[in-house]
Amino acid sequence: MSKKIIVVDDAPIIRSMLKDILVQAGYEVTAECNNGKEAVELFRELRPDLLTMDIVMPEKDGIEAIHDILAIDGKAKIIMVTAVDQRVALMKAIRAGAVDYIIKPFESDRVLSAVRSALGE
Amino acid sequence: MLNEPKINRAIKLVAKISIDKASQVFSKLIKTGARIEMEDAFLADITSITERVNRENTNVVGAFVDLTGEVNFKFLFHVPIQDSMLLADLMLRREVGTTKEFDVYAASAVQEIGNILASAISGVFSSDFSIDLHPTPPEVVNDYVGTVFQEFLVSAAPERNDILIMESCFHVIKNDIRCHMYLLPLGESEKVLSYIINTM
Amino acid sequence: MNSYQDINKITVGVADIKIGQSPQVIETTLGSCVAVCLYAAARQVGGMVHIMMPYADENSSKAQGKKAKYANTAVPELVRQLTSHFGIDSHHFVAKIFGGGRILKDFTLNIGELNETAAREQLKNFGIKIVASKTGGNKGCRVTLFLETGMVVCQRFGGPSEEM
Repeated sequence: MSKKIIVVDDAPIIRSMLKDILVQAGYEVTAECNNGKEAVELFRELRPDLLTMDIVMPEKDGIEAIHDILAIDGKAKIIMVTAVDQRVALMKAIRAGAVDYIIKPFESDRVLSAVRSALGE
Repeated sequence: MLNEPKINRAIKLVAKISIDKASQVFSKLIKTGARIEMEDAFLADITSITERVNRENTNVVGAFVDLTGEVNFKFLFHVPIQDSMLLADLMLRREVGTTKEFDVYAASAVQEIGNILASAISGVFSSDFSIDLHPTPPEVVNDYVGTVFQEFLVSAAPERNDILIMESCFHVIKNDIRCHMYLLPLGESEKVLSYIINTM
Repeated sequence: MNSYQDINKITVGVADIKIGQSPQVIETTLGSCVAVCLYAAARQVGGMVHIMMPYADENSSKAQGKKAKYANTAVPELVRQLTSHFGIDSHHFVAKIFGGGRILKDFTLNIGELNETAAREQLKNFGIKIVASKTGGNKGCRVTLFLETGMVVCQRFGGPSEEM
């Protein structure tokens, strides 16, 4: 059975790019959303194997969302997807419990290697 | 108050470093050769510059980003609406010309390019000048170029009659896409520029 | 191409005043800024001011430098330029007001509405009647004043052209 992933990013075009890469590689993108608040709700409802998470988003940013998701399930796997040179925010995300990160603009190989490694494949 | 040659020197330095970085990430994002050139960096009178922009008869999509931190900047990236569709095709690795109408992906392409460019610039400030800046999520507006540009000025410097502008133009190889990027230092601009000059 | 573009088109920037006479055409593009157009039909003359802020702040030297920027100094300056240049009393003019939109959602202050209110207040002080207006909304508009007739064409972004 294919692994379930939720894609979280406030830019529809980035969600679409990630979704294309993941679906072509055989993963199931069960949901997508554009802010951290919705991501927490979707995680609670769908319990995916992995989330890809933007950092800078309206309503609730990616770092706040990591805290909330890990409070629901300490084993949740989250990969940060963030724009280049947001090192400070990225370090905060890693400290909060993200398992890996992908820098935008990204290559599909980098996305898939981060996902496979996070899923232990 | 700094003298004008010093201001211009500092602006040009910041612009050059930022634009080199932005050029690299922009080319990578759209997977095609792109060159960003600094068209001008100058102290502009708000009336003259907006009179010039108002003469253009272009409809654009703009991404507005605030860079906040130790000092504050306003950032605007805008592109003609037709070209936002080409950028969406390039980002989605589709054949150029596939997107026929301005849609959520065309708007989002501009939103994301604005986000990535603003992040690249804030990274330059952090690494080269030890000034920490954080970009806010971009607000995307499609409208007349005159409207987009004046909203940028109104939100950035309502109390000023002249503003520091770094204006650059993007050329995307094989596709004649002309995008513009503006960066405005807010109130503490003199302080920022003094700092930069002292680190040069 | 519209025929008026072949003749004398005057473009107005932000915090700017332009005056002219028939057959000239005065044009600007607006967002949250407000344009006040004044026109005297008997002489086919008029002007436009592009207002950026409602009131000059405490530091009046800023307003002195750019009278057209603030509604409370812009409208009197437009009236002064028109009356002194063309030798016509202010009561011969009628006004039309445009703009004052709210384009950026993240910009908390509704500056467009404040600009409009301040401009209307100034016109009232001069006793100049407002004969047409199209204000507010969340899109920009292009405003073209034809000095031959006093007609203003207002085109909201993405919407139809309206003759007013």
